[in-house]
Amino acid sequence: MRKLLLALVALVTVGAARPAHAKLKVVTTIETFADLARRVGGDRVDVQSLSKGYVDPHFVEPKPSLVIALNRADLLVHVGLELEIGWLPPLVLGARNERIAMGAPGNLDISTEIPVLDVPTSKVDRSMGDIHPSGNPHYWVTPENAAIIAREIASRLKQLDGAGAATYDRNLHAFEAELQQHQKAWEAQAQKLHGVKVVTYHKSWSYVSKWLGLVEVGYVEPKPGIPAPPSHIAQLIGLMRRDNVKILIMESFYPRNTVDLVAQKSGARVVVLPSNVGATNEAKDYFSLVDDVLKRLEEAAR
Amino acid sequence: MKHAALVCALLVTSATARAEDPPPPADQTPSTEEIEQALKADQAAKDKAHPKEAPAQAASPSGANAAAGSPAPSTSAFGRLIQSLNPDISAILDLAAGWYSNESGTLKSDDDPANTGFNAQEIEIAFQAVVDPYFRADIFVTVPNLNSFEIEEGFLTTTNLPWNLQVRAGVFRAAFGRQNMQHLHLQDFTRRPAINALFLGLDGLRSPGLEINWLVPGIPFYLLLEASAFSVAASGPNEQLATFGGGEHWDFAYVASAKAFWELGESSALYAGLSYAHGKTSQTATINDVLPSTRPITSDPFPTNLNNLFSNLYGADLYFKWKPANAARTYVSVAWTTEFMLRDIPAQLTAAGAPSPEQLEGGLYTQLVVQAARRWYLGLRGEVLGIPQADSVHREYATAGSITFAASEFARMRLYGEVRFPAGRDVYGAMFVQLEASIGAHGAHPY
Repeated sequence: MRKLLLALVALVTVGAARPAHAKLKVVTTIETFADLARRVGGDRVDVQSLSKGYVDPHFVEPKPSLVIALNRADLLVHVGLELEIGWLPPLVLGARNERIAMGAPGNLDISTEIPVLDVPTSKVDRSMGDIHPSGNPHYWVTPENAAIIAREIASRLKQLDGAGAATYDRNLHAFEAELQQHQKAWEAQAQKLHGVKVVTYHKSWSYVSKWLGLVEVGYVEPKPGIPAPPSHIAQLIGLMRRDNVKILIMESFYPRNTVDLVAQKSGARVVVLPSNVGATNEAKDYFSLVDDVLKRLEEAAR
Repeated sequence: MKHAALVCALLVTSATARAEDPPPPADQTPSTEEIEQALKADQAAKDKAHPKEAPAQAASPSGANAAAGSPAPSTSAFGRLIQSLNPDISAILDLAAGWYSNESGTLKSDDDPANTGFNAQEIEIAFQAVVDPYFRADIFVTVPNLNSFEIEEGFLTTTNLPWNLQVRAGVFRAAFGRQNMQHLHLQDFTRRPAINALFLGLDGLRSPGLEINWLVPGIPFYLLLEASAFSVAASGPNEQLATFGGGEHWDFAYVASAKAFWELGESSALYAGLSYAHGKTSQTATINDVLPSTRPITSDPFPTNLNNLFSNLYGADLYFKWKPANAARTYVSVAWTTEFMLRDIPAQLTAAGAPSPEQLEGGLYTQLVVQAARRWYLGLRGEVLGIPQADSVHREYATAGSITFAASEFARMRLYGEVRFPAGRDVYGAMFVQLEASIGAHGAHPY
């Protein structure tokens, strides 16, 4: 009995102690944030994403194993705008980690710094499906927002780890420089997509559409979480034919049957776009994510 | 000596756990000079960490130049309106209409549908909020079958304890097994398995108490240890033998459990638990045949009294879930739960001094829930009761099936049927159509 008690105490000691020079443990809710955190943090941080890039970030399984990552985290970076409300809160509660509690310096809700689109201007309720009452949370793909995300992460890392401030600044500037380089090529590609009419599955491409000048004329599933009735699908097909919409954008985690039907009847092409780093084999990091999005759109628009 | 060593170890742990916040020297009020010096040092450190940013920004070929002219984050009146310090309030309605073939002879948990016909099976109203940096509060008011207005759970949870500890205090569901912690609307079947009412109580094991739990650190998998104590109320006059609730007011029911979780690859996971509870039995009825369907055919009740005897309850549970992460072409998942409970009332003397022999009784259920399509769930459950059997729990086999259609995340419709085979008696069963809907900001459920 005494041996058991001593062993338990030893475990607690080992688990609770942390050498002061250890890497900062950063946990993000999505892979794109993890990629940006790695770029900014360099070798001063150990980054882990709670969800894989090819998973719908609204519905991540809140497995207890994720609690362990959160328990050891120094910084939690999340999307906000209620994207993770279905699974993150019980994990954070179970993590027993006051460093990442709401309002603590180790809890970073990036959405507070993002110019949010699609904020409802009138009262909403669930007859509209499972909508986001504070605005559209799918903001992380565009270069403008990626710069904001990187800047916010850098700023918070500096706050938590003052000794590494110079490193974080240097990495941030390097990222911004690389971003500007890529943007030159991206702008050229974006020109060709300006004014192209598209239909998307879920209203998750607002920021990308605004950046590229795409015109979203309709949605396969306008009420999030509610499969659209046949009447809506028929209307959508009619609209696509009339307006000559040739591109139907969707993420890989949505069902294909309805989409394939709509595409077939309207003559449009289904374009599966990666919405996060890791969603496709090509989207290995932030830059290749945007490259892949633009490449697939360009091919479809030809 | 060993105790001193333990205390020292605990103190050391405490110090290292807070390595980044060295405690200030005790009994020393800093002088004005010391304060000014400290402030100067802080400012110097800040200047070093954050060199003047203006020139850096001008030189930075920031891709955010496009953002230079972008609007500030939205601060619309609507945005300000949604901020409120009110708790999250939600309500869940469970309505069930159906039929029991053996109305009075079916053992029902309090949140099972009460009768043949229409039932307002349960109405739950939840108030959930963070109290302050140290606690959160969760209050669930339920009205089961329109019978009184009760507090299903009302407890505080600490949010700021060190060493991975957490304390819950109030009235809450004990962490014994798996289904005991679940509210009705988390069930995949309209009725709970019989081992709930048989061994945990008609309400499940939920009473005012105190729990401390510990997320074991330093190991590569999730392991949660929990210990709690409850004041369980005595069982009612027409209720069967209750495992706990007897003895004096200070005869608490003690519960301890261990829950471990392992990921088996990306799509599968295993959640296993072991539970133990100890207390005193409560029995005020003289009929001690628990399962009404197993009551003696003659009108003479058995006179055995099992009141105020030490009791032990052992539980083992296993939850296996398969859910592929990328649900591209279809939505499929499989969840398999099995729970076994064993009650041991050891041989002891009753209050009257009569010897009461050991009563060892057990039961289990196993259920498979398959998500066959995006919004369809098929469930199949089997139960075996009376393994082993003694005076209160006799052998019975049961099987149940459910088909659930989730119109959205917030509304479900279910068709449920069960058939029960008590040893040596007539087969009986039940069938229900159930409707469940939730409104408001109900918190996300644990795994």
